[in-house]
Amino acid sequence: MKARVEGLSGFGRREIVAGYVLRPRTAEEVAEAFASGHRVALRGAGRSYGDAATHREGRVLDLSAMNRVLSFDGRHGIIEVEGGATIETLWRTGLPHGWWPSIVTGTMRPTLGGAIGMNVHGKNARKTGTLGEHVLEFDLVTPDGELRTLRPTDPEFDLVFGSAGTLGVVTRAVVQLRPVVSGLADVETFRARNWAEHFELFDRWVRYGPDGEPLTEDADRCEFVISSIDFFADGADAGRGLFSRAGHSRTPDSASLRAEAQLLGGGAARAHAWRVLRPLTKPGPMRFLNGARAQLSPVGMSHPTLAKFSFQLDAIPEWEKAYGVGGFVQYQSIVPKESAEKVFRRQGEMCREAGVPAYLGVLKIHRPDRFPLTYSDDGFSLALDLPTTAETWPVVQRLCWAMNNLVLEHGGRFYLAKDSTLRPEDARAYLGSGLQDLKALKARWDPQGLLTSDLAARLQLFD
Amino acid sequence: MPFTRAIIVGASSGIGREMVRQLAAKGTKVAALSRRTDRLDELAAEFPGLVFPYAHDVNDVDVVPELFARICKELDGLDLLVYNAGVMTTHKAPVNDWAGDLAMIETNASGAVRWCNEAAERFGAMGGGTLVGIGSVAGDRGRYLNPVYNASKAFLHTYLESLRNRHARQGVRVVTIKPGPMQTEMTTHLDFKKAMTAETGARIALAKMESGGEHYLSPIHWAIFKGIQFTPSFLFRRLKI
Repeated sequence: MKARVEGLSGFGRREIVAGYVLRPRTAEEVAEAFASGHRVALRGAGRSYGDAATHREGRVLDLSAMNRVLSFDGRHGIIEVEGGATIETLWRTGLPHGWWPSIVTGTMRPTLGGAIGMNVHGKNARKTGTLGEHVLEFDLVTPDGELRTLRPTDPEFDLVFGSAGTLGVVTRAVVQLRPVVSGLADVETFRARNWAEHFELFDRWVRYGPDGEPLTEDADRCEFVISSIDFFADGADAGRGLFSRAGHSRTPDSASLRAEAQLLGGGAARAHAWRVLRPLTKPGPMRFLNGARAQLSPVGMSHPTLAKFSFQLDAIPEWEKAYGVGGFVQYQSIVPKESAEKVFRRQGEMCREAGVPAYLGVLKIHRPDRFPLTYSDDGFSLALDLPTTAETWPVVQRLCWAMNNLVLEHGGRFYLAKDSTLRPEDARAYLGSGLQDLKALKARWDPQGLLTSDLAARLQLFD
Repeated sequence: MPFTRAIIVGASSGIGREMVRQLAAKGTKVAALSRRTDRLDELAAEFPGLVFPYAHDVNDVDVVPELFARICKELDGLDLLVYNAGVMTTHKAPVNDWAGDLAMIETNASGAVRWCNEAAERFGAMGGGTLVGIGSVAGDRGRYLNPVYNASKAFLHTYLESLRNRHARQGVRVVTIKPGPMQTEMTTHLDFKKAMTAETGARIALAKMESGGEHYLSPIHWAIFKGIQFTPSFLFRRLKI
């Protein structure tokens, strides 16, 4: 394996940094890379928004070539894949047999290794929690030269979820899928005219408790709950947007289980669609588009395919390039439910006061989980897309630092897959003793401290 | 746009040394490379925190990839590389000097390829950067006195032209600077008392490298050496130029 220099960035493309990339194809090649003694960052699909999968001027191990399906049990919905296989691999393999992943991210591109490292969640986070609750076992190759197979009963299993690639390489994972009879979702969409109406809708349609238990018989019709918010709206309209609740369709429909039935084609036209968006990533057009969506988008029942409903970020290929040079950051915080409305309202005001427009806002509901490094809690998360340029970055940074303080004051947490603006003290504050446990485990599995990333360095996780 | 982080290969004297000083004076962080580190230490003392000396013999081709990566890491990035290392044998009459010829091939051609390949690959991957080779008017024609010096510079010109064509669409700027006669250590044997100084040459070169392509350092050099290039052979060989 030879390391070749590449320009790498996070999904937000705020900054392109040089990395010397190695692409191992086997667990043995991963071990070889560690044996060389060089410090290295891990990279799957590079879908983290910030710097979790870059190592400026350093070596990067890109696991995306290790992407085979090793086995699939079509009777029990258990799939075994190499660590570089993606969420897409899971549903394309399982759906024709009537299985869908319990947890999918808003894009199907992340690798299982990355998904485990970040302990991802989906629109059904209130019910299904985080990925760690659905992984039956995985292999981890650590810098000390060992390959360990970890199961939920192993004491170290939980710490890998959320460790963001600092403990080892996931070379194999075994995941439990969930049964479906249809490839469609039943979705009901409502218009919310302000913050209060959003939270009323969540109140009305959230059918799972903080332990993930259903509160009603038909809870699964509301397995997925999500809101999008127009952050350009102010005053009485502040927080307006669209709320959706959805469930897997219960009407058997084997035609829709076919992978081809799941997505639009489009080919060359769709491949260049992001260029059409490019001139629109400015405050004026974005204000218009957000407003139009909040006020004019159709409401009521719809029956999109599971892929179209789940993978909205994949509707327009490479849409992130529409932000141009300078890119954007996503700021996401999780706040306990009693403070969520107040904190998120205030975040909107802070963005306005700083003169930083939020081009997209997404509100989700979560529940606690058992993972020491988790971001999840009995509360809500708000994700904000904030455009950046070399000139505006210091302003955006200061805004996000101020928002960090606000979130921490209210006992909130942060999701490393999105992060570009946590400071070391912020990370220590919300991770608490989980960080100490991570350091102790890393001292055993990576005694030379070979595994790093620009995120780990920025947060001074191991200093 | 000013350069922020630069590598100058061959920085102890001549145009290279002057470029280091002029870049550092504008706030550019400069990695200065040469065999003679005492000269570099003087530069570092003159511009603390901006000039970083590295001992390097360009004939030591095997260390280049790792050294290049290490420097980029220590500078935290790179937007300019200048290959300025060059040697010229000083015979006053034509002679068969294989050792001297090989030294010119290795320093002026092979060394250039080793360094410029690394920089071109990096700049191509990053979608930007400026790569500069210091060629010479000597490369414009095979003149009688020093065939291998002329050839080594012609090699550099064609090699850089290929890189220019290869990497243009990646936003990489490849520049060939063709100094004419200049007063530097390399040319002391040629007695160029009224020729351009290294300081002036560096100043003009830094301005010219804002745009890609081949550049002479003065319109007079351009005129004279284009003339030399296009003089028909049956005439040219009678002249002792």
